[in-house]
Amino acid sequence: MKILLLGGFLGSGKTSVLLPLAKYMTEHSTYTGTRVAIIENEIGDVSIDGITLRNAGLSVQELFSGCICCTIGTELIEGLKRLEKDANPEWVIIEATGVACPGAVAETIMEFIPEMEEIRTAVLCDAERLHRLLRAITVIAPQQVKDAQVLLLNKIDLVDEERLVQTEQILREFNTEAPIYRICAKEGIDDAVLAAIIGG
Amino acid sequence: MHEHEHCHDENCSCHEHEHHHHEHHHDEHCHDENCSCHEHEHHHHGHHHDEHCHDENCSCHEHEHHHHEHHHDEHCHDENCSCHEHEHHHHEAGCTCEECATSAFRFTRVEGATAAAAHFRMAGEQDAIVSEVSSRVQALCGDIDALGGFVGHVKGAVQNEGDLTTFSCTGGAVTLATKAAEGCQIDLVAIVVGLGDEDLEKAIRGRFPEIGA
Repeated sequence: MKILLLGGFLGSGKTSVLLPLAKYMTEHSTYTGTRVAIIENEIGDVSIDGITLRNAGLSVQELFSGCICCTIGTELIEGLKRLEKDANPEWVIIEATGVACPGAVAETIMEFIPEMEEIRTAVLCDAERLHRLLRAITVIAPQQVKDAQVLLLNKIDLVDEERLVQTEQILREFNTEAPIYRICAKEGIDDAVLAAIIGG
Repeated sequence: MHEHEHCHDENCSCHEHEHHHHEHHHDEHCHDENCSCHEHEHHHHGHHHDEHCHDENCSCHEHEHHHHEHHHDEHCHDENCSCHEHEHHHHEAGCTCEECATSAFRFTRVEGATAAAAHFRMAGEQDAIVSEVSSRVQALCGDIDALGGFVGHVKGAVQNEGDLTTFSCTGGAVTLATKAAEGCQIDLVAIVVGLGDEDLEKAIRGRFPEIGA
């Protein structure tokens, strides 16, 4: 069982990426069992994103009322173990809350499930408001960027080229290694980018 | 003394035992002199679970025969309630449990962010409601900024209440009656940084007066 942690600040477009990603994983897999399972970690106890995903035909398990990198880590671990036992999917996509640090989530998983085959981390960044975000949310937002193995610069349709270049330079200050992919999730994502997210 | 106040055991010879009117549910409960259920006191035979609080002192048959297909409005989930429905209750969109019915807002705080969730109704057609809600949400974001908060995410769902068609048939033609949907159920979640619960609630209510008290 492999895990993809999908992180990124509130409103950055995680759910919009999750849909085509889950579809891509399902279509390009030769695994005969359950190919993709999704765990949604929502702030609060109303699952708006869960509604969106279910409407798209996906099966979703939600974790409410806390953050998986801190308050409800054990609930996440138990959920993963149960998923492995009951369905053993090829991939589990964990959509973290917008205030989670994916690195902390990955550490929690590795601590309690050291035999996990692979954990990948992709982080969404909002091209339109990243600058403002990094000034206002000075701990979590930069940490999310640092934790990423793949950075997805989303909503590129809302800013010009000059701004995009500046934003990429800022991202590089926090993360020198992760490849940065420009996307507009609402208009569709290139298969090459989806493949890169899962390490293909 | 009424006939249904005595125990209809195998020795009973009253006509009610022989004819066994099921409106009284005699075979579910022995209404003897120790019976303390309200059926014994009031003799209402159409009572439902939500007329009776099944707390730890309840001794009526309905408490003993605790069927787990029961719903929230059939069972009083007070602070002593230990049924699994009380413990594991997630307030999904459209939830009609006691807590959601009485509490217009629910707040959750995680890592410096506050999430306010509200459920309410608006009358009208879905397209018009969606347009109206969109416009107000944008205005709400402006209000939050003006108050010094940072908008994390404001999201929600507008669910059409749906047309209702009833049908009736006694062997011949089927009679239909349709009532068109008159409104939508709306769930709104606002996740904000740097604003307290009170200010956030006030801002949301300012744009969505439809939210109940």
